[in-house]
Amino acid sequence: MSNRVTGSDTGYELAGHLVLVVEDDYFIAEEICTALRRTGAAVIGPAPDVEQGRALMSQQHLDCAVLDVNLHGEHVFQLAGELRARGVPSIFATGYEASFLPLAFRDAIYLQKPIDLAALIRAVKQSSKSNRSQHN
Amino acid sequence: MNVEARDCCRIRAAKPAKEAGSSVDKDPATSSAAQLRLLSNAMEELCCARSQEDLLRISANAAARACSVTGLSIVLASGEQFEYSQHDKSAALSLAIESKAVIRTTSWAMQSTQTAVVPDVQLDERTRSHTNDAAQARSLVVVPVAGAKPFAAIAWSWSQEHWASPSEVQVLEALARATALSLAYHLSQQQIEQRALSSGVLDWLDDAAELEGVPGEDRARWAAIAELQHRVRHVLSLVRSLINRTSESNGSPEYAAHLEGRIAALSRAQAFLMHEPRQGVDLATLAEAEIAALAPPDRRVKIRGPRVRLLAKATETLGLALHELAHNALKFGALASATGRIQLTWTEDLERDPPMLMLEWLESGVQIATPIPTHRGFGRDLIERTVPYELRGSSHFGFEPGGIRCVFEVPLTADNVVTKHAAIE
Repeated sequence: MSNRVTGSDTGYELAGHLVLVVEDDYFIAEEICTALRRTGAAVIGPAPDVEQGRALMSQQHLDCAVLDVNLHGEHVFQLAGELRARGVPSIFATGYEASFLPLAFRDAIYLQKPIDLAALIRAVKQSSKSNRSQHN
Repeated sequence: MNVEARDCCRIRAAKPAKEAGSSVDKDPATSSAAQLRLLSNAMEELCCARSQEDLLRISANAAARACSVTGLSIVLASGEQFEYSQHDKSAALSLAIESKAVIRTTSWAMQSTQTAVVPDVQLDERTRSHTNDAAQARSLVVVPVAGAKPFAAIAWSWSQEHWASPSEVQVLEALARATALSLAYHLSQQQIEQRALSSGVLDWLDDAAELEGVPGEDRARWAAIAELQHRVRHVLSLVRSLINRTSESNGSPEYAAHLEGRIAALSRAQAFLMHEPRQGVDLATLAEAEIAALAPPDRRVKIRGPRVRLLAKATETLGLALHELAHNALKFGALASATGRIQLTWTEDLERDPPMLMLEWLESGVQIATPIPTHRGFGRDLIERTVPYELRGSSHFGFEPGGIRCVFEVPLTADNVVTKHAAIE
């Protein structure tokens, strides 16, 4: 953990953060990934479906994941559960209401589409921070 | 009030002095050691119970051996009910418990968070008005589980009058807790398994409706509205990304027109989808609409292919891609000259796994500008990237001597199109 580049060192808020993005729309995924990369985050993905998201999940030690909920008619909550089991918090970016999230994920950060990209950056920072403090 | 009630049931639990000698006399020490052994065996068995029926049987048998109990009923705070009868060795799950006395006493026990001991349902004030079913359950010990807000009450019953001793009540309390915990585990496993089976958005929305307290008959309508809301927000997100990406070519006077064209294409796709979302959108209708939006129908354009019905994502993606191709044709290609031609044809390759839709946009009679444009703008991105990413297909875009040739391959899978199989059903 000590060899991580921190945000204050570089001026990039999310420098050293590894974020998985799962979103089935190409342009929305691009928008999310671009916003994350601009602030220094390393993006894993984007993955257009649960299957590819799962394949990417196992490759690295992620700080957090930004997940669309409805992926080609399949919901993302099983993947979110698997991420949680690995200690990776999820941020849900969706057009559905926050109150529709299963009870198990009511503590996760919810961003309503169209998502505010500045709020996305804050959300990634916040959930990664709490994740890191838990693991240190 | 609770204290009084507790005292009252303890008093009733005490065996009348005149009957003291009439039961089988056992050495209390041996008896409680035997009960303890029974209890610990039962708990071990409960831990290994394979099913809900299994655990009810284990629990009822242990109670029968320890305290000659003849029936076991469980009422959950959620309202679910379970029953096991020693009489016919049958376990009934999630069925209504017949005995009103049992129902009344379990709700009393859950509310007061105290064990209710009812030696005779015909005499107890909690059950006196329901003596008609005393035949099944004459005596009861009802244990709430657990803590200040019980999630279940377990009723042990005797078909004959039975005055439970304090040590019997203790054994039954312990057994009740072990049974309820085991049941709670099985129920949560069952729930997890059910969830695991359904990863579909529709099942999740149904669960969400339940959490929101939407009554069963209104859920389909509720889910339709939720879906519509989701779709609107999704479209707004897309519009925003279209604006952002189109503005990359900022400074170009055509920015506004190009953006307007893209948003119009998106809204056409949405309009088609609104009509019959489950029926799918006819590919030929979509293609005709995308070209007609830019150029009045004429003989330069030929559209041909078998009937294919696209679902939401494929409609949106192919609609926008066809719009970009048409827009490009109008500006630089086949629709910009009198000699130009567009042949849009598609075929289905059912031999492949999964079956594939092959869609070809072929322009001819076009004077290709030299050098060939190498600029990769948003339009090119849209044509080449969205089909592979969103539809798991492929896209090949190139300049041929007579004009542009673009080939899309789209898997004919249930998430992209209304499959033939589904259509037959």
